[in-house]
Order: sequence, then C-alpha cells, then structure tokens
Amino acid sequence: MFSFETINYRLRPAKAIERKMLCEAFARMSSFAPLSSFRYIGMGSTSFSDFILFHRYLGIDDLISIERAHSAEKRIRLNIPFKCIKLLLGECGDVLTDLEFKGPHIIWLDYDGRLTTDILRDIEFVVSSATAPSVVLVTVNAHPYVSREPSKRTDEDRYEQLKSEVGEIRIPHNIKGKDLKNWGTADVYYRIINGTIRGVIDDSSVIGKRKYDQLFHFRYEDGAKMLTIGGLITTPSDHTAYENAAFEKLCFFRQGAEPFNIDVPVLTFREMRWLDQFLPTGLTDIPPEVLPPKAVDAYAKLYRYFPMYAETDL
Amino acid sequence: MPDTVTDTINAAPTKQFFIYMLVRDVPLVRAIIDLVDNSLDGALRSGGDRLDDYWVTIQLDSNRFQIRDNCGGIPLYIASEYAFRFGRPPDAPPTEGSIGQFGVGMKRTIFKLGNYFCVRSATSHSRFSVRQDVKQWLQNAEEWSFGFESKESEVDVPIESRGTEVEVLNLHQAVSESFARETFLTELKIATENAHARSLQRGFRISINGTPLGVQEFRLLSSEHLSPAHVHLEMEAPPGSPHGVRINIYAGLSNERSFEKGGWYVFCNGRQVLAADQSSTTGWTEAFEAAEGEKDIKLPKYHADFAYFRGFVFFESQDSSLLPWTTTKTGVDSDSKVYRAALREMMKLMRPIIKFLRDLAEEAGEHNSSSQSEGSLAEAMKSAPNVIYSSIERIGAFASPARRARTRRDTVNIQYERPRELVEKVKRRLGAESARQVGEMTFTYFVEAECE
Repeated sequence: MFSFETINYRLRPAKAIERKMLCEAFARMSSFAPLSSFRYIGMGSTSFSDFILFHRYLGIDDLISIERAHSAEKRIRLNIPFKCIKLLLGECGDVLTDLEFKGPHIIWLDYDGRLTTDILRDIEFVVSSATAPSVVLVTVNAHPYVSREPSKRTDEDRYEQLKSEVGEIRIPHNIKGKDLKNWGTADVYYRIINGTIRGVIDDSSVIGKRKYDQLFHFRYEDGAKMLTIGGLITTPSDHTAYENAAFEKLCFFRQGAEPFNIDVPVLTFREMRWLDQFLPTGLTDIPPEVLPPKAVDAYAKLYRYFPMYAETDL
Repeated sequence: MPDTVTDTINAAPTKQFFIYMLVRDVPLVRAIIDLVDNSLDGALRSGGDRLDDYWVTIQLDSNRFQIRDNCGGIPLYIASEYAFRFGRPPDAPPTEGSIGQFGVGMKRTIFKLGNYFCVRSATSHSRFSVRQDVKQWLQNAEEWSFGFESKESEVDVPIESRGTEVEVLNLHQAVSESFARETFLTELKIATENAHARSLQRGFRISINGTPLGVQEFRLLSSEHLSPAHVHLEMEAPPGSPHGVRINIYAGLSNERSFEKGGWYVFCNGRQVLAADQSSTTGWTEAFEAAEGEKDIKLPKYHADFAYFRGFVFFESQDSSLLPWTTTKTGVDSDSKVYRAALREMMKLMRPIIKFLRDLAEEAGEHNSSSQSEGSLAEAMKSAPNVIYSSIERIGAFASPARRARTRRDTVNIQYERPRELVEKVKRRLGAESARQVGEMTFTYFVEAECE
C-alpha cells in the first residue's frame, strides 16, 4: 500500500496552507539568486501539489520528484503536471546519492512516515552536499506511536519503538516514554533533526564556512500529527542577501524550538469571507459572540494562505 | 633521618621514576618504529620530495639492537640542545611535516631497550658520538646531561658517510626475550610496513635483519566509465598557528575482492594510522543493539559485498600537532575538528560507492539465475585499469555507469529452512505437493487472514 492509495491528498487543508507559506518564503530566495536558477527536489507522489505551486508562482523549471513506488510508475507518470518535472524512481537515499548538487537548491524531504535512521542519514547527506545558498526542509510524521497489540501500548513500548527507529545514540538523554505523548514525539524529533543538521554544518565548518539558519518549524494535524523543520544554508558572502530577504517579517518564521502551529479553524466559506472584510487590521471591529473567538483568531493568523474555494489542481 | 626539615619540599623527579613513566606504556614495536620515524624525518629534511636515495636498516637479536640510516645525520647543535632533551623545547627548529613531533622518540626507545647506548651521527660538515651506561647515569641524581664522546665541526663528510647509527646493548630481559622470538620479528615487520606504507611507496628503503620491507600499492579502478572519488580539502590555519591542514581523499573500487583489505586507510604526514578500517570511526554505520530476537537488517555495517571498497585519506601539515592522530600515532583522534570535517566528506563520498556495490551484488544475483552474460556493472569493473591512486587527477565524486535497465522485479525471494517433520505435517494439512508450495500457500494464508 502506498500512501497515495490511502490518503486523499486533496483533503489536507493544513498541508495546503503550509505549502503556500513555504512558497511565499521561497520567493524571497530571489535575494540570493534568480529563482529560475534554483533546482527544486521534492516528493510529489501523485498530486505534485508542491511542484505545481512552485513552478507556477516561482517560475522554477528544474524540478525533481523522488518516488519509491516503482510498481506504480505508469500511474505516477500519468499525473506529472508539467514537462519540466523529472521523475526519479527509487528509495530517497539512493536517488539523492546519484544527484549532483551544483547550484542553489530547494530540497524538501517530505516523508509520510516516522523518523528513522535512514531518514537521518539522508538529511546528513543532503546537508553535507548542498551548496550555499540552499534551503533544506524535512517533514515527518510525528504521531505518537501506538502498537498494533493492545498489550504493548505502555510508555516503555513507545520508548523502545523510538529506540529501534532512530537508534539509542540519537535520542536526547533526558527523554522518557511518557515524554512522547501528544506533541512530545514532535518535540523529540525536532531536537534530533535539528541536532543532526547542525552537527553536519559544525563539523564541516573548518573546511568551508557554511552556516545554517532555521526558518521553518511547523506543526499541524490534518489526520496524523506532522512536523516540518528546515532552513537556509549560506556562506558569509550571502549575508547581505539574507538581510534583504527579511524572512523575519513572515508571520510563520520560526528560528528555534518554538513551533508555528497551523490550526485550521472550522468555518464555513461564507463565514470566512465575512471575516475577510475585517482583515488584516480591523479585528477589534468584529461583532463579538457571532463566531467562536478561537476560530476567529486562528483564521486571522492564516487567512492569506487559506484556500478560498475548493481548489483543484488543473 | 635528617635532623632538620627544610622550608622547601623537594618535588624534583628522580631519574628512575622519569624513565619508568616514559617507557611504560609504549609497546616495544612502536618504540622501534619511532626510530624509523626519526630516520624518515631526517630524509625529508635533507632531500625534499624524493625518497629513493634513503634507507634505514635494523639489526636486532637477543644481545643487541642497532639501527642505521643514511638520512642526513643529526646536526651538532641539535644534538647538544634538542636531540637528547626530554620533550621538545618551544624554540626547537621545526622539521617540515615532521612525524617526530613530540621530541621523545629516540631517548624513550633507548631507555625502553636497554642499559647501554651509543649514538653516532654525521652530517655533511659535522660528526659526533655519544656513549652512555644508563646505570651509571642513574647514580648521579642531579646531573641530567650526557657528554659527547667525540665531536667535530667544520669538516667535510663524504655523502656515503652521512647518517645516524643508534646501538643499544645490555638489553632488558624482556626485550632480549622478545628479540629472540621469530613471531616478534614478523610482528615488527608487518607493523613497520603498515606504518610506513606511504614512504615505502615513495622509494624509502627499510630492512629488518636483512629482509627489505615490502611495498603495498594502493590502486583503484579508473576508467572513462568508472571514476574513483577524489577531493582535496584545505583547512585554514587556526589562530596562533602559521600552518593549515591539507586533506586528500580518494575512494573507489579495487579489483580485489578482499574482506580484510576493504575499508578506509588513513595517513597523517605519510604515517599510516588506520589500515582497512571497517568501523564507525571511518563512517561505517554502527549496528546498534536491536531488541532481543530481532535482527537489524536495515543498517549496512561493513559487509562482504563491500570487500571491493578502498578509501585513502591523507592529512598533511607543516604543524604535526594539528593532525588528527592519537599520541601513539596508531589511530585517529575522532574528536578532532579536522577529522570530523574529513569524516563528513568521507561519508558523503562513500555513499555512491556503497550503492554501486549493492547494485553489483544484486546484478550478480540476477545474472546467476538467468545465465546471461555478465551485467553491465561487472563488465565496467572488469574493463577498468587498476591505477595507482596518486595518478588520479580528476576531482569529483564517484561516477559509474547506470545499471542496465532491467524492469525492476516486483517480487522478492523468500527462503528458509524448517524441521522436516514439521514441514511434512503442514504439507499434508495443506494438501501441498512440494516444499515450495508449502511456502507459497502458507504465505497466501497469512496475507488473506491478516493483511486484507
């Protein structure tokens, strides 16, 4: 079973919002180099939503999608939206190994599954290979592990599962099984991934002065709890471009352990259009007791990235 | 007991204690190799790049140890101020790319071996000799210096007489016994061949008890279609030091499928510190403890398929203290920043080679069953010349031909054994006709019951 056969990608609003936010952030990479000189590497599956967005709105025309479902090759190819998207079949690690990382890149390792040592090694490889200026992002499923067997659902079991997936050595030392509940797994994953990225950058710093600046730390839950973390790899000569890009002005910009939660409020389209009339600066004018304040606040935070109509990828 | 206690406490070391501390953790083989290091240093000091003209010979038996070289000799001023000091004073002249950075080699080895030594040396314009009975020297607690038995300066020494000779007699009991053992000699030869693989390759000649040491050649397959990885990295000089570190990494395939020889070979200023390393020190993944009963098959620890892998890393610096070797020069200091940076590169370069070897093994498996001619990857390896690594000029990652496109099989072969009785029982129950059918039917049974 491949994920595109079980998850209907069209019904993931938080993911769609994240995508739009990232698109807005990537647009600022024009500070560093013309967007048309970037290569985008992602995992498009059958929907290719990120590819469509980034090609349409950013003009990136060097796009690579990594796909592991060999047997579904024909089906995937049927869904490729533009000619400039190259499909590479194979395990992510294998495909990445064969690529030449020349020039600026935007690489989004958008996994559906939980964090594993294979993924961490892919991250190390990508961060090791990427030339500045480049953006590297990782998305993983951070849903707390629940065993199929009801008798194996203790805190201990959860911890053992983590150990078997990422290796004991990578787990922060003060973590226990009970810390992995709710968004705890995402917390631990953040620490591990962040540590991995910075480890590579720090180690290679004596050879070439590269820096990593985190830009993104998203948490959302369309079905399963998901975590996205990523940022910029630059050299000192990119400093002015970084200042000019002004990433800190983006409302979802996150540099550290505090995440940006994409909470999608449940509102009708009509309600959203009504709220739009008060946005962005007239929030205090909204008549109270009409809509739940939490929903209003959540909407205000995300309104610019909300799908306005039922969007279809044409 | 003295009558009065003075105001000061005597904290001066005794010679006996000093010697004891100096020699105790140095293995005998290593102590001897230290002397070879000194000879090599001398050769580098004198002649620059070419080592073909230089040699060192070692003669040892249960009564005596002798090492002789023609590597330029020890200048008088170095002999009187530095060569016989314990430790290297800060104002000592540096030897370029020196292996003998810590300045203890010769003295430590002498004390390790025995109780009587004689050092004779001649440079192009000076000569000296020093002779000492260690037991006598120990008797004078205050006087740490040695005396020259003879010295001459401003003389012309013909080239064939230049060099150094160190002789030790009155060997310690344990040393004497070791020297009498054939196995010790073999151990020494192998260890020296390894440690000085690089200098032997460059023409330096070393012989032990008349046997010249062999030259290991480091070769990699290299052709238009199969290029080894080769990168050159420079680490800037850290603050306070005028020198940086140069790192050269080569990685690729050997034509020899040898499990023992596969792995990474690491050198610091020409001295081999790791040979055929297959551990996590050089980036082979650690197989962590899987839960009991589970076999962890996801992680590729160094594996028989990788027996073709060869990687060579050369660290070079004028300042040998920047190099990532341990104080014993027999390993790497994994905490060193230089090493960690190099390791990241090594791991990056390794990946496509490991992938190639995995594909190669898979390809071999496929071709076995379909009895076609050899696969494209195996052919590429067969037709590639086996070249000396230093002749590889192309800089870049490992490149190989793409595997000949075969439709990737969507099936996996499962094979296992079970007790005959049990298999018969299941066979009857299923109504199967062969063991193969037992496998297929039980698999289908499970899929239908549990997976769908």
